[in-house]
Amino acid sequence: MTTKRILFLVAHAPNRGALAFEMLDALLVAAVFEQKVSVLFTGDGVYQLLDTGQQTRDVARSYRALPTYDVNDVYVDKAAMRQRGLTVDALVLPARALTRHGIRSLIAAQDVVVPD
Amino acid sequence: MKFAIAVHGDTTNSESPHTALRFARAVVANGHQIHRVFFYHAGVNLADSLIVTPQGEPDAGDDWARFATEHGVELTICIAAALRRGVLSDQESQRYDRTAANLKAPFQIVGLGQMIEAAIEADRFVTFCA
Repeated sequence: MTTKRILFLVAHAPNRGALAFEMLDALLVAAVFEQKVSVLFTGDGVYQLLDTGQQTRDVARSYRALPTYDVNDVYVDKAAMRQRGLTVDALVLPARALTRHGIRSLIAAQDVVVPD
Repeated sequence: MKFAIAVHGDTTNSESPHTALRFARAVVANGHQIHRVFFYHAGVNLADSLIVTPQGEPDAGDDWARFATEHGVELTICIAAALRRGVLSDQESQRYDRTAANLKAPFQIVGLGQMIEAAIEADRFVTFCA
């Protein structure tokens, strides 16, 4: 099977019903299909990587398993993080913070972009 | 060129099924192919045959079904998303012991792998978010 570079673009807050979990499911299926998967959290999407410890089912805890699926290209939007007073240390996964310019290069390098 | 289309919204909350259908018509009108249409998230509600749209309003589910039949386009919905939202084929209805099945033809219930396969096989994968 062809290998494509697929970027999942997460822009919605985690508490929007099934959306966050369904996006993660799609990402994991792409990883199982041995595609070159990366994920970028932007806007309120950055909250998906915060373990608040408050919800019974927290998508952040599921995202923590990404390295198990060999998905290590995790990016966050630097500006979105700053606007929300967040630092990468607070996230459940090691993530690289990208500037607008970095995000543009990341997207330009993909075959497929899947937004949420 | 071979397109795959993903639809994430339903009629009551989003313009996405209508916009996606206009896009799909343009794809066909310009001589391109549609590899598959994949309805995900709330988009699976388009395949709910129990929905009654008020007179005079467009019924996106029916419009998609007609378009797909006319042009031989594959309409698929994600099984996990569909079960969660109560869109069931006869088979799933029996499996989960429900009182009815409501999957509209020619929509097919498939696994999420079909979405990724479409993204891989098509030249362009276009998503219409909710």
